[in-house]
Amino acid sequence: MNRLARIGAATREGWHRSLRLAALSAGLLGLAVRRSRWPRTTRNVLARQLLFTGVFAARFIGIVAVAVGLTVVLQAKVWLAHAGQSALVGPLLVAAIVRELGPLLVNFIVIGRSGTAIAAELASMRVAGEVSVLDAQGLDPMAYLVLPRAVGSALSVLCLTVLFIALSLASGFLGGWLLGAQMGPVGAFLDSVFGAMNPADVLNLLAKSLAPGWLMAVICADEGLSVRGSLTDVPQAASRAVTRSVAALFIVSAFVSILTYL
Amino acid sequence: MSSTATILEMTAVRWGQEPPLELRVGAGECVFLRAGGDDGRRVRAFGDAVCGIEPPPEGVVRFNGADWRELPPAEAERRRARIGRVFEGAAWVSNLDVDENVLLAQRHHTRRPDAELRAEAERLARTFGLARLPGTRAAWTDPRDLQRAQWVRALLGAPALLLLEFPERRAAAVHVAALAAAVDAARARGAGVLWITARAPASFALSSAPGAVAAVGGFPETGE
Repeated sequence: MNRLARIGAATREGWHRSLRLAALSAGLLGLAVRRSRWPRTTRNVLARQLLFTGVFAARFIGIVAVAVGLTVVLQAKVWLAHAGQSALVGPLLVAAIVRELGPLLVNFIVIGRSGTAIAAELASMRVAGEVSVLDAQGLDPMAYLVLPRAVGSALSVLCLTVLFIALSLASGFLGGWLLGAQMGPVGAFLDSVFGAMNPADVLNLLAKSLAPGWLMAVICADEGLSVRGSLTDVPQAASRAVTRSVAALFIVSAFVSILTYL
Repeated sequence: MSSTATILEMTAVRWGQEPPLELRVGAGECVFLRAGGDDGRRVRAFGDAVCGIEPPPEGVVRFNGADWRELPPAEAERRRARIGRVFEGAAWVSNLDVDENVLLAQRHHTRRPDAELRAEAERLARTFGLARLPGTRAAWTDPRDLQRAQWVRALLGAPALLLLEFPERRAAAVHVAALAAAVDAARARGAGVLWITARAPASFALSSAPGAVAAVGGFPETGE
């Protein structure tokens, strides 16, 4: 009976968290489309978030993209040439990098880099009483703290994913060419990649970057602002935020893949 | 005194077992609440109730005629922007510099140009003996300067109500006198003032006109 109760409690807790996340996301989307919720102070926070999550992460994303490009594109090219299926290089790269690896790896990096920062920063603000200072001045913490972080994270993940895909394909081609693999002319390589893409891939890319980026920021902000204790609770909030964000990332990615390609 | 427009009204407000608190602050009036030096947390909770952030367990708090609990969130935020507050305890957002903190609420709620806001803030800062608003994080700023920067923030933008929680702490007598003069000026243009202090109200030498200066008993228990 106790075991059943525990399973039930865990299920209810998971369900409750999912509902809370959905409600928060929907509420924030409602705020995002209202012009009155974007005064200059909120736009400043958005700019800082874009700078931190997007611009400052570009270099590291670039390094990872080059490494992934070299390994994946080269392997695809070499093994497909062995199998006499060189014409499939475009569809394979689109399936591997554009549809799955690109959004997934970028989201992972952003969760590790910005998600933890959002959770820790907001948790520290909550513990130090800074959130109530904002509230007392008529600044809604959801609109001022969470909304620009969610929008900034979603847009950053989208831009970084496009950057990741472009750099990994370019580095793969250049790497193969430098190492003497039979890469063919660049035009034919690009033709095979873009020829393998269809409108569903664009939707897939948008959904897999915007939705997890948004959810990551909402989850991390929610965990941060839910802290009620002392500073020692801040790392725990950050840890919970990362775990939930990674879970949300896999669930959303699988869900979008099923919706798009099945 | 009661003929002036009511800005803040607390009716039958009670925390714990304390007697109910009845309090009214009219336009141009300054009401003092005496509090002990170790009442910090209770003063903070009281201030949050005045601002409609955390309603008291019992009683009604009205600001400009409206019960905080009946206001839609967006309207409550707009009204809170009309309250200039000197906080007891945490008062600054740590990821902004002090000058950014001072301008934050005005930049958020109004469309006044940044240059105009900064000029008004710098003028107030000079009134209080600050050469300029501190452009550093609060953690790295002298607590005495921080307190005066709080005064600047509270008075910026002609608030309808000044909620001053131990504003005289960490401040030199000459600067407190400048604050009292600024409070008098705010009252002259119709602001109400609720001043929570551990000192005798007479020591601040506020002008008695146009509104009366009233001393209201001891500070209420908030049940903490």
